[in-house]
Amino acid sequence: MNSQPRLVAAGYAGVFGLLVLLLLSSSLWLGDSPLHMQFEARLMPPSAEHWLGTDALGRELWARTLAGLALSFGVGLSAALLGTLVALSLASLAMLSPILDALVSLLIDTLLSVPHLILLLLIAFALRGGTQAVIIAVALTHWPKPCPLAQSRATQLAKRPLCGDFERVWQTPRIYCLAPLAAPCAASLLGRRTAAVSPRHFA
Amino acid sequence: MRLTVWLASRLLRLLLVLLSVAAVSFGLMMLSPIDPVDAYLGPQMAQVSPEQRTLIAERWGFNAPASVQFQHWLQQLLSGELGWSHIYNQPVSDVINQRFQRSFFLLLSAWLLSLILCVVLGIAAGSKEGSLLDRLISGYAYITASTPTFWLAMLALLLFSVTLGWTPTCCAGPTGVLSQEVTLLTQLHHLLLPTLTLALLGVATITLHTRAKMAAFMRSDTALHAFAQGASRFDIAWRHGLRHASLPAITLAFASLGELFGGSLLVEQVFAYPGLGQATVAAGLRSDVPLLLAIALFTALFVSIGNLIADGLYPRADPRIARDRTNE
Repeated sequence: MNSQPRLVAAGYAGVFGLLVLLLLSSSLWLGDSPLHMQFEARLMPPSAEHWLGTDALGRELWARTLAGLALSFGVGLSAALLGTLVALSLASLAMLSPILDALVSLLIDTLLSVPHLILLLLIAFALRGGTQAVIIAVALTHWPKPCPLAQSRATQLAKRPLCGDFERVWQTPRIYCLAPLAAPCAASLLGRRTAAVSPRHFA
Repeated sequence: MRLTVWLASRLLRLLLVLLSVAAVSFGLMMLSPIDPVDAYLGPQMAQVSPEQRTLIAERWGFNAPASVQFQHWLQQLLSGELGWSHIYNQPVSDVINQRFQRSFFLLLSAWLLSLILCVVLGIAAGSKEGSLLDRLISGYAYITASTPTFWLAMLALLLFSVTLGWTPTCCAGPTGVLSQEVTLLTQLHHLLLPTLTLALLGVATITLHTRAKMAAFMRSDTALHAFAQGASRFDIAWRHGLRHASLPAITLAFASLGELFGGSLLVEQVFAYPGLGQATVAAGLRSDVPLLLAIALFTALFVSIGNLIADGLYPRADPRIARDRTNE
């Protein structure tokens, strides 16, 4: 059945890429249809003309769903990227000295002990809503999870002969220490899709 | 002796974490562009003169620098004074007390239910990797892992409360009845759907981790030896595997208390259940700063104690950890 695993994987990746591309370009080919009101066709059930029906103002529900999805996807993606950046930089900072390491772990413990939705609420409260605030809030609340992973990975790496040959960690060629860190980061990046979508509910 | 030292160091750490939670949340409140005097006055804002506003601000100490305000708040906190919630017109400690009592049962039953479900499903799936049961359970876990809580809660509400009419649509008791007169059975009836929604969604991660651990154990030499002696698969899973698989389950179950609380925020909002989660959302939307700060601290305490319990339970599940800890 799976005689060509690479071909199958490439196929899945292609379909996924196509969907993402379609989603990201949706604002181009949707035009103003998410906002276009048709008062003669209010609250219509799904039909061939109105694929998912229409709302109380006669706007196409499928277009509105797609536009919302594209926004959520953008928020999720940028928040995940930003959060990963924060996690990576703090993990590398923690490698420099024991005091910094203790400080970073205290920060992580602090952020992990507050339920992330409450922290999200606090940050959104401080920044007063809006798409940008949601991106920052999601990024700042979700970085602590991969950070301990990256941190323990970094400590393991520092003990390796390859990195240990250098006097101090920061003299190590970055590529050796950072490339293997990419794995936990990428995993957490993909895992955050739903996490990023549900807080949109509040914004 | 060693246990006391370990416990003391953990408690010190807990205190440090709580202090930084207080500092971070207070700092965020300070950053917020919301004027606390406006939030307090609400719709009466228009009837108050600028002189009166400055009087209020002076009386509450808003003119003092942030560090002085923080110190003041911390002192009040230490003496047990959490402040006054202007949206419920009650002391914050009373609000949290009442709300948490209602939420506690919801959280506890959802947590226990999902823990039992997770361990059973994880062990059933892991003990025979690749079987039909394994694929069904893993599939279910992957689907729930990617389902947003509030969406499932809405679907459940539509199906069971609106279409089938089996469960009530909202609140902790029927409308028009005093809360003292609501019977236990009615309360349970109102809790049923929120609990089930919360429990079914919390299942995914713990199930998958338990399953992975169990599957790894089934491939180990210990399991092979037991198979050679003629033990059945169920025997091996039950007598040997359970202890191995319980370790990630314990860790995750206590670590997920925060997630559970976050889930209850959404579920309580959808089911209009008057618990702590709903109070949190209300405090955030209507700028009730003392209540929001107190809830952040309270939940941090709740989650930290959960982690402390998990740490205490490890040596019971795995004697190797107890040995390492005494050797330190």
